[in-house]
Amino acid sequence: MEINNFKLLEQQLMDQKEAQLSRVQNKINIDRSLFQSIGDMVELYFPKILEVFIKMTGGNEIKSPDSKYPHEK
Amino acid sequence: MINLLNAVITGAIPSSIEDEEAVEAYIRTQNVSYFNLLYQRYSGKVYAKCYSLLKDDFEAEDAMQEIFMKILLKISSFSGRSKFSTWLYSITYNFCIDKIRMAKKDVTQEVDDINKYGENVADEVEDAELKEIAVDRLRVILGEINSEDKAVLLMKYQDDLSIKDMCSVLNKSESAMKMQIKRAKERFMKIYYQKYG
Repeated sequence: MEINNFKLLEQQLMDQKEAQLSRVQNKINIDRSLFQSIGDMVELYFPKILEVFIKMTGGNEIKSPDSKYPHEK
Repeated sequence: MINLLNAVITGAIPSSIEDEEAVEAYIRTQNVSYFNLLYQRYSGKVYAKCYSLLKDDFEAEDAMQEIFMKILLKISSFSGRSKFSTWLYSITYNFCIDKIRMAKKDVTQEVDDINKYGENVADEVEDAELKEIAVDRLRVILGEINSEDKAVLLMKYQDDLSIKDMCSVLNKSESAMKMQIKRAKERFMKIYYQKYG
């Protein structure tokens, strides 16, 4: 088998840092959850905030197309 | 490793799934297990690259976190034209090189004068000669050469990237890339001979 000490060096570095790798993974998962929560909140509240803003500036309420047939009341 | 086993034991995802399939599945389902699988596969390699380039434990850890956050935020733009690993290494190398440039104004030599040297010159220093250098010496020399040379050598000898992939990672032409490899190998060997005869 061909000797490649560059790969051996990489393996040595990887073996030394197992604890750091799982610590970073936890941090990433926390950040990911945070971003997801912010995204969910924006998704949930943004239409309401927009509606309030439109009402405040004198516009009409946004009507959701809840009827399958627009000609029906 | 433990996390990967946990995910597999709990039946979250099959362990044999290809990287590109995991990316696709993550985009489709937003199931964090797919991202964790990719993290388990590549975090060690990304850390080793960050540490080799930045030469500092804490900076390498921070860089790794930022790189994986970038991956997470940009994952939907992964087109699948290259392998996932090539895309990840591209982000890793460019992130680290930019960080070094910003911190030290690390100026590296431009390699556009290919005509002066001609093409196919990248193999003048034998690859086997470099690969067989003892690990402790390798560590010392890699600590002394500039960041771009180091990135090029790591891509070629650690990641086994093709010239074409290296061109796309560093956004350079094929001839410029070959010249950069040649120069990096020459500078590497020069330091080696100075230090170890």
